[in-house]
Amino acid sequence: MSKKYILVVDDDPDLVETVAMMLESKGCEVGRAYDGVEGEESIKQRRPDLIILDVMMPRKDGYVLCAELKANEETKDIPVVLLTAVGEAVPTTRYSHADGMSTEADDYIAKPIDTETLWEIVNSLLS
Amino acid sequence: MDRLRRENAWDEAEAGSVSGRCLGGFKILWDNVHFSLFCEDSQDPKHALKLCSALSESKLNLPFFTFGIDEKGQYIGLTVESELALKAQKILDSLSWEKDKVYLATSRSSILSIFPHRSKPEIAASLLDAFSKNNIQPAAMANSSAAISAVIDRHLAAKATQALFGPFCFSTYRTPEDWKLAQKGKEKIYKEIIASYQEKRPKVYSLNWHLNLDLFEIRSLSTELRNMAQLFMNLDKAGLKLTFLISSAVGGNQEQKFFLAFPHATKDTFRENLGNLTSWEVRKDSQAVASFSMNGPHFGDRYGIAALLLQCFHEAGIRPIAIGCTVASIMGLVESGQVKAVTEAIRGSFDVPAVMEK
Repeated sequence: MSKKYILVVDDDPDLVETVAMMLESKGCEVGRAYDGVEGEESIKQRRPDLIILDVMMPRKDGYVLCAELKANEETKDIPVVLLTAVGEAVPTTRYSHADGMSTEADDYIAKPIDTETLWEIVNSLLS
Repeated sequence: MDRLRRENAWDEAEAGSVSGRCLGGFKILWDNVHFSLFCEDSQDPKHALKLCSALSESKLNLPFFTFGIDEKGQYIGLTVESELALKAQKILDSLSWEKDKVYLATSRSSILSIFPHRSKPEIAASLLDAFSKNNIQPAAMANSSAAISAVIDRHLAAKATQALFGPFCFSTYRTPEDWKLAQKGKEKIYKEIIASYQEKRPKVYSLNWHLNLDLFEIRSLSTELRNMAQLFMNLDKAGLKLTFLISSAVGGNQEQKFFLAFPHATKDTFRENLGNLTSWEVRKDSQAVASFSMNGPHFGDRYGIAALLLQCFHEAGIRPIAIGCTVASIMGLVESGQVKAVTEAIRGSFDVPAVMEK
């Protein structure tokens, strides 16, 4: 069976690396992107089997990118896992858990994430 | 490999492809003050612990922190936001250092971070070379699992961001103007999010270990940046992976002390690639050290992380060789025999859902 290709999109480069290290240890191939626009370009170049997508990013945030992917016939079936921030405590932002739940993402996980829980979500969506 | 070919590696790389230096992006924290301390003849990490604890009690964030010990003393570099600098200065003044043996340098600074480095020394080489060409001398450097950060003079920060677009290309930003647009309003949101994390026991995403590393130390003149760049370039050509890097100013930024760790880098490999650098030493023999990294939500911007780490080490009787905290990670270098004890100590103070080894 070929390796699953997962794209991780987050503007925190260290988190991208941590998640990539975990996924690679589970036998996945990992693509990395550092904002929504770069993520979008990466998806055009190579279709991932799953996308792990941060919501709070420069230029194009995760909600917008997720909505665009789900509205596009070619990409709507790619599972998307959103990484949400603890926005309830930050009234001036819209990056909350509630917003994460209202999108069409396939699942979401709140930061600070637990990499093992994230893997359970990814594994379940891939199978 | 023949030495002449090694010394030409830099020029070949400059003339050749830049694909290896196509990066994801860079970040800058503009208005900060950096404090460089060199405590001569002091090998007791309690000084750093006392300092970090006092900063933490006063709720001062450390967006950048480095700490290293050798037989000559200890090197501490810390950066705080400009508006908190006076408070930090008072804390530094209030600690009972042996005044005549502590050298302190203070500068208005910015923290520039480029990513991802993919453990390639070539990235550090290109960054140092760009600095050298623009007369920018970093006061300190540190890597995280993905990024390399440099503390540079505030007045040279804009010039430094421009200088990056020569040796590097960025898939995210094609011009400096693209980059400026991407940063708009970002710092404010970050600060709000950081302030929202209130857990008493900090959670990390995972504790990642790199085992069997070799530690090398270099003390070089700050004006020798190009030679350092050449060294990193040569090490890249030799196929070495740069796993750990911190540097700190010594004696008013005239010299830099580097702590570097590579897997499977023998003393001879290192010696072969020194180029024109003459001041260097090997602290430990082969496979004697291990590095760990912990990444958390905006870790490098939250107060108390370095203090908590140093505290749990102190309680467990662990003496770290070096620590670096930048971007969203804290990294450390310890003797190989201490890996188990360090893991236990960290798990005692941090919420660690997974431990991974490389």
